Amino acid sequence: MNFDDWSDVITKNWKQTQEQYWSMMNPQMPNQADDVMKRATDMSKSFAQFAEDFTKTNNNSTNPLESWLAGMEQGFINWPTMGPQNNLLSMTELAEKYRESMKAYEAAFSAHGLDALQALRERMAKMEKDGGSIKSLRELYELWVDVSEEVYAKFAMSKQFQDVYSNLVNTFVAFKSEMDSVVGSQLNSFNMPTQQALDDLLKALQQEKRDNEALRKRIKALEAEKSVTKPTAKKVSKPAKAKKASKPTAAIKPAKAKKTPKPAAVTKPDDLTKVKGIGPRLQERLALAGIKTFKQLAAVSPEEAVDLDTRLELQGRVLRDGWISQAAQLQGKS
Amino acid sequence: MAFFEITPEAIAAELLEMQNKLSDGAINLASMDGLTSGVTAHDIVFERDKLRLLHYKINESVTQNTTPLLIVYSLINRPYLADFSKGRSLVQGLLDAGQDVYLIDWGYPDANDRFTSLDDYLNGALDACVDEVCKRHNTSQLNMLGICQGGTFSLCYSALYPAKIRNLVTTVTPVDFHTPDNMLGHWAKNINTDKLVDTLGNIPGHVISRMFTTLRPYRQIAQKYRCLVDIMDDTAALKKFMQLEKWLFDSPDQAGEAFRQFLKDIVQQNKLITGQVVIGTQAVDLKQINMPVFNVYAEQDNLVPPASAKAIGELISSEDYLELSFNSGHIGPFVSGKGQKIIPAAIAQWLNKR
Repeated sequence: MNFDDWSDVITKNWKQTQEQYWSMMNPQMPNQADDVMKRATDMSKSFAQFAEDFTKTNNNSTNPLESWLAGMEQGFINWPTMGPQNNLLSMTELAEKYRESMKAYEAAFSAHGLDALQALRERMAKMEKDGGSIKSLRELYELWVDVSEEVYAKFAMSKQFQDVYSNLVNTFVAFKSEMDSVVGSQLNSFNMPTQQALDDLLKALQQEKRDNEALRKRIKALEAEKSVTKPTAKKVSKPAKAKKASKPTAAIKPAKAKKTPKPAAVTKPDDLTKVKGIGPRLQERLALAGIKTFKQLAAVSPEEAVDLDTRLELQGRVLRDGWISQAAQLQGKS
Repeated sequence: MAFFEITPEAIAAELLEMQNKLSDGAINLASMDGLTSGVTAHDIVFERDKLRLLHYKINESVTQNTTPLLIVYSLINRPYLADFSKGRSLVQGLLDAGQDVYLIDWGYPDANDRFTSLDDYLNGALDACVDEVCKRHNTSQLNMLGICQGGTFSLCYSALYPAKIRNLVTTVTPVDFHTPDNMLGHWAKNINTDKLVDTLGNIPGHVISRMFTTLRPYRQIAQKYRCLVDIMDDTAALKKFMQLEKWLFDSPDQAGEAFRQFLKDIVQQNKLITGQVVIGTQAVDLKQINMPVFNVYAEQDNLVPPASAKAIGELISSEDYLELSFNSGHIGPFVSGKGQKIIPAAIAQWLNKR
């Protein structure tokens, strides 16, 4: 049995079976598995090609490995002269620059391919010298992957790679940018929306978002400030209502009337933790909100209670636990 | 024995075995049900634009660390790497070690994010999340854990708001992009970033994921998919493969302005280590980081080489600084069984002592 016969068997039967299988399975594959199945099949096809190349080059050959390596090398040497992969129309010199960058990029990779094969030769020579062996095509494949990856790591860290890679990206971007402005000015002449116009809008929108966020923060801060002064102002007016005689008179005299926080500052705070449901930490938070005495708490109206509840995130406890009525009772006792 | 001993029959046999595995595999792939990651129970407690703040259900059977922990993931790839699958979840590991865990899901940027900047992400969104977590726990400080670029962001944030961070954990976090073995830094060096972002706007996610593949193309393509055929008849192994594959290619687009600053200032000009990165109106001075820092890195990481991650040690002023290395590639700490045995416990132990 020689390689020639087997080459036929492998190429015809194997590839045919594979194509059949792929066309059978393809319509039944759910989307997410589609890509992966295709990659697995592609690699299997590559491996089959690998097998074909290996067997094909071994007609009348006494050294299968050498034949294979020589065949691979020829493939890499031929590669750059097979013409550019991408047939870009040279509309502008930017397109030409991009094309040149692509050629340089591919040339660098073909040179790398040759380097990898050379390194593989050397590795196998060493292995043979050390008494090792390769027992399967798969082992050869894995060795090729290992050695190539090592060589690639050096290649990828070279100045040459850095140059061809950045040239490729930069010339592509320059070319695309030119194309975009040509398209843009054409759209403009038809009075149609352009990317530039959209970008201008998006930029303005982003700034609006930032401004809104800043305003929200400012409002929050102002609300927190306001809630500290609010109960005090109420406190002055309440006594004026309750006591019909002397207080209003006192309030009218501008020199003495003080609708300022001062009276509140003089008032001694009560121990609000006597109210069931209010602990020391909550007492602190109520104080920050301007409520420090049973009187102040008892004076909270239902609407204010809801507001307080929301602001301090009390989950309805103010009304549910009857803080106001408790405070009213405790106020009477103190 | 000769060096190379292989008969044509043997080659045919190899191909036949491959064929069989491929056909079994096709059936397995076709009948595979949904691949779910992000498996640990959680609530969404805060939203802002596309951002969602996840709060995981604490493990009540263990003693709790009362300081909440906020995980800050990268903008590149999706955060469910931290909660990958049952038995491979950093989040679950931390919960089981008594941590109260929150995680930021940045969402998928779209055209509206064309002008979202690092300032918007850090001083806006991240700060809002930190404030939200602190408010919920009635505290002024939390613990922060950053993953990869999320770690870089955590470093910037901790330098800008040191009072809000009690302890900082960085994992596989790039700091110095000009180390000699830094492939990403090497490739990025001469790219015209301004022109790139001006022309492409948001950077498409698939461009980034393809670029990652190109770091190790032989392993990531030739070897990986050939090896896939080997395991295709094993439904459990196949499912694991597919879960990781799904995550690898689940790449959000990168918001234009944020990407511009990250690539230009932080990667190309390495300004993080010279204290010249300006976020909003303030320069990031890493010396402002004085809280305890725990730095976890991977020894075989080709995306974030150890030298890049370890650079942080010299740049901060924290006296309490500890490193932990793990022998794997970039995502090993999160998806390997061994990683999950070691890393969450180590982090939790370190946090609990502080």
